[in-house]
Amino acid sequence: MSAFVKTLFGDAWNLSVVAILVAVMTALSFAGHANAGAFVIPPLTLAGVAVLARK
Amino acid sequence: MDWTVAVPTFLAATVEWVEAFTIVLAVSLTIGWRAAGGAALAALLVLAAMTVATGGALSLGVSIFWLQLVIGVFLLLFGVRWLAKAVARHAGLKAPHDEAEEFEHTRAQLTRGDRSAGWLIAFKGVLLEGLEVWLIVVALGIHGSWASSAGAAIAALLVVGAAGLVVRAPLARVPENAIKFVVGAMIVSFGTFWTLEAIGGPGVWPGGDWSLPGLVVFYAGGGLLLATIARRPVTMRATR
Repeated sequence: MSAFVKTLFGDAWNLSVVAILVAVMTALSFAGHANAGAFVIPPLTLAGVAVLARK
Repeated sequence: MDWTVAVPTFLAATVEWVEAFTIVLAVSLTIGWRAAGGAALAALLVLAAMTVATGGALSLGVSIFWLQLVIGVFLLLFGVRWLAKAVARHAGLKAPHDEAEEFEHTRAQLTRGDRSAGWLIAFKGVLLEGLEVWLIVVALGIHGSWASSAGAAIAALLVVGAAGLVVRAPLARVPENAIKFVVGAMIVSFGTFWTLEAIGGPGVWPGGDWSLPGLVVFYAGGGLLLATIARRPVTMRATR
């Protein structure tokens, strides 16, 4: 079961990175700056990839 | 044929099927081709049933917002992991995936020649590797076309299966890391695009769908840059 869950969701670090990305997208949208997400999210995602690559 | 769906699905499925084939091959040397092939076939039937069931459930009128959000988040979960692995391997932070090593590891697990354990290892191996294929087929199939995504996954299975039967050895020459880099960048791009569009609404991306190729270039280029930066201190230490 744990292998199944890990295959679908990854580990805690992976989940945390994606949770932060979704939280930032939601915050920008609620603040009325959803369009800024197009410029904020890609670099933020790449930063998350950098963190995961070092784990 | 929708090539924007078929190409990433084919590449991603190829990587996963190669890994699944390695496990089945190792098991087949202990319990025989027929039993190992049967286990693989059983896992493939489960995956096919999952794909049909998911497609049926999703066509019953689920709101496009939730569909796009859930699929976008799943692709992000999946894509960042693939891209990070590819960056780490490219930078030398992580050893490249070695099919020969995987083959020996699986063989070692079966030294006692337990038939039912061998069958389970082959079944679980194909099912777990295939789960990632299922996810991509479903996610890309919904926004593109089911025929393109499922067809590309089946084509990859046939290509890997045929190559494996000819070689009868671990398919170690498949450039897994390069494929993972490209597919990781593509999947992260789809994930970012759909999640932000689901949350922020349509029109949030400048240029609409044309932002997607730009995102792929950004993530692939950014990933290569990250790998170069991560590798630099090691190179400097080595040259001292």
